[in-house]
Amino acid sequence: MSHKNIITRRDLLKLSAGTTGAIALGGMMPSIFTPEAMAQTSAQSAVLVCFLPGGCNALFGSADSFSGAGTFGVTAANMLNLGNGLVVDSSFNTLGAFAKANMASVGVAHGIAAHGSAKAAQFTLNNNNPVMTLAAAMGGSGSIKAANVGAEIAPGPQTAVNGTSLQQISDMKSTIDAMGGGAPDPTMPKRELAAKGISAAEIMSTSRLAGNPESLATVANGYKAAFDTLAKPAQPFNAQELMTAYGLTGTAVGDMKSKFAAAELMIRSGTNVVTAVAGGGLAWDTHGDTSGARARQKFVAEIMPGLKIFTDRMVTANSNVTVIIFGDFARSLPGSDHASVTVATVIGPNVKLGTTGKVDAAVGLPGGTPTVNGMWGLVATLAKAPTSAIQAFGGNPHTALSKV
Amino acid sequence: MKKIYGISLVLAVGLVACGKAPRHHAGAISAATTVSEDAKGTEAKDGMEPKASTMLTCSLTDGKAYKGFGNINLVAGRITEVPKEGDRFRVKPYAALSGEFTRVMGAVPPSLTANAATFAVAPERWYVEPQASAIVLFTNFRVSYEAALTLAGSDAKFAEAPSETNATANCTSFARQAWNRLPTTEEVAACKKVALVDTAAETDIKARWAYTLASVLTATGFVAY
Repeated sequence: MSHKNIITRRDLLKLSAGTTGAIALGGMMPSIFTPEAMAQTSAQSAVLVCFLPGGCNALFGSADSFSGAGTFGVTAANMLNLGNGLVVDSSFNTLGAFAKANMASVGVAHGIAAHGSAKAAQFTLNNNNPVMTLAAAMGGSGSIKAANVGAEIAPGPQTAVNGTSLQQISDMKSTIDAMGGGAPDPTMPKRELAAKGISAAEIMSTSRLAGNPESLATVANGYKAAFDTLAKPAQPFNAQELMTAYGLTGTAVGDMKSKFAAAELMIRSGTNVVTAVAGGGLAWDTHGDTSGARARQKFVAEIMPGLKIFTDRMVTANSNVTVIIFGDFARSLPGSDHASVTVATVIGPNVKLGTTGKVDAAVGLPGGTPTVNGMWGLVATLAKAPTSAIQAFGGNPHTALSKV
Repeated sequence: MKKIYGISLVLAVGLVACGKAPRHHAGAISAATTVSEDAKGTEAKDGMEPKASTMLTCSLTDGKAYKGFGNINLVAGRITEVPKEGDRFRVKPYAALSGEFTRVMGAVPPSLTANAATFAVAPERWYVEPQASAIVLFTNFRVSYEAALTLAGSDAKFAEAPSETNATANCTSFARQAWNRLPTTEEVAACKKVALVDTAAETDIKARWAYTLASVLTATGFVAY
């Protein structure tokens, strides 16, 4: 692409920015945007992908599979029967009524019991990262269509799909500043001029970017997304309301609670798909956890507090935000090692209560259970992505779990 | 005697050149290194982006093998050859930016420290490949702008409003300092456009220069090495 083409495209973007409304969910959400900004918003679909690196025990999404033998410490006391065949771990009981009524377990028969391969398989479809594929297909006017909150990056290829790249969000304050929602600051550059300056920086980088297409890919993608973000009208933002809601004292994105808060921030700013990785390395590789106690303790301490706040605020009857939670694979018996299937949990207004992820006593799924494509096909369906995008994943085989 | 002298000279040239080249790659160096004439000392030749095809490559075939638990060869996956082609540059980590801003601007801008979390600093004893993003690049621009405002207020070179003459001179010299090489004509033109066109409506002369210098500091010549 020549410089001239880049400038022409961006000049067009700049021209159109004045007529493009700030994007976020509609007026049904708590008022973190000022009324002026909210008046410009319209209903928007979004997906939060919460990934547990190392594995996610099926006791969370298919508790009754283990109750007979009492494996993984499942008893009648720690099961939660949500109806329509869905029995989950009681960790989920702290969620609001709407979330619990719109939850399902999704079976994924990927057949892989190795960490690296399972991660890659679940985040690689047709050589692309399904997160970016879905985010690109969902369209919308967000300047950052796919975002990863926190330092740990979701697995899969990082190559941009149709111009959509995965933008890392490590601090909410600087993100708000980039969106023009920060407090007045005389040392802050004007947005329009900063956009032009960054465009110039990209042109000055042409040669080096061309010579380092992989190692500097995040820079190339970042220039585009930065320009697009700055070309949008400023989005006034009440950061304090968000901090208070999530009980945060700082804006750095570190623990899972702050990742859920950052996910909300990005979705409200127009991001289609957000990924949040729950810890570094293989944080959820719970070998030897035969009682399931360690997995439960981690889930309750690390996932549930932020998930509850996020779903209470973002997953409502009037919104279209879907959350999916899964890991490399489920844990096998008897030693909580590596199973070769995944049981994902989905929560969202378009989710029909139920399960396709009920494992047997050996942590296997019934024959005919769809593989990875099916999970992404379901997510695309729940997000009301264009039909072409759903078909790109091979369609949605989990029709029993979708209201749409 | 002449023969011995000649062999020694060849070996010395090879070792010195090989030692200079892999600025972006640490590792053992084999004596079998070959050096192209074009590549000698041209890594940062003024006015030229180093060409990947002329970069030196060093074979890393000589290394000590270490055994770990279970008699596993800990260096089994070691890369033994430096890729000859591109993809050698990396995003500068946050830890490097303080020194780099001090080198170019004379001080660490307060907003760099205040926005440390934006750059996703790896926990102690961990390494995370630095990633750029829209927010990182915007924050880098913002930090650079703050530093450039200070510089423009104290350096007489930036006292006059940008003109064709002083924009050419200032863009060239500042990019030379920031990037450790002379900029190309196209790069100077992009810099001048910020000073002369993009910021033309800005009434604060210091701010016009600050936007111009910040664009140079947000280019890969500064944010990557």
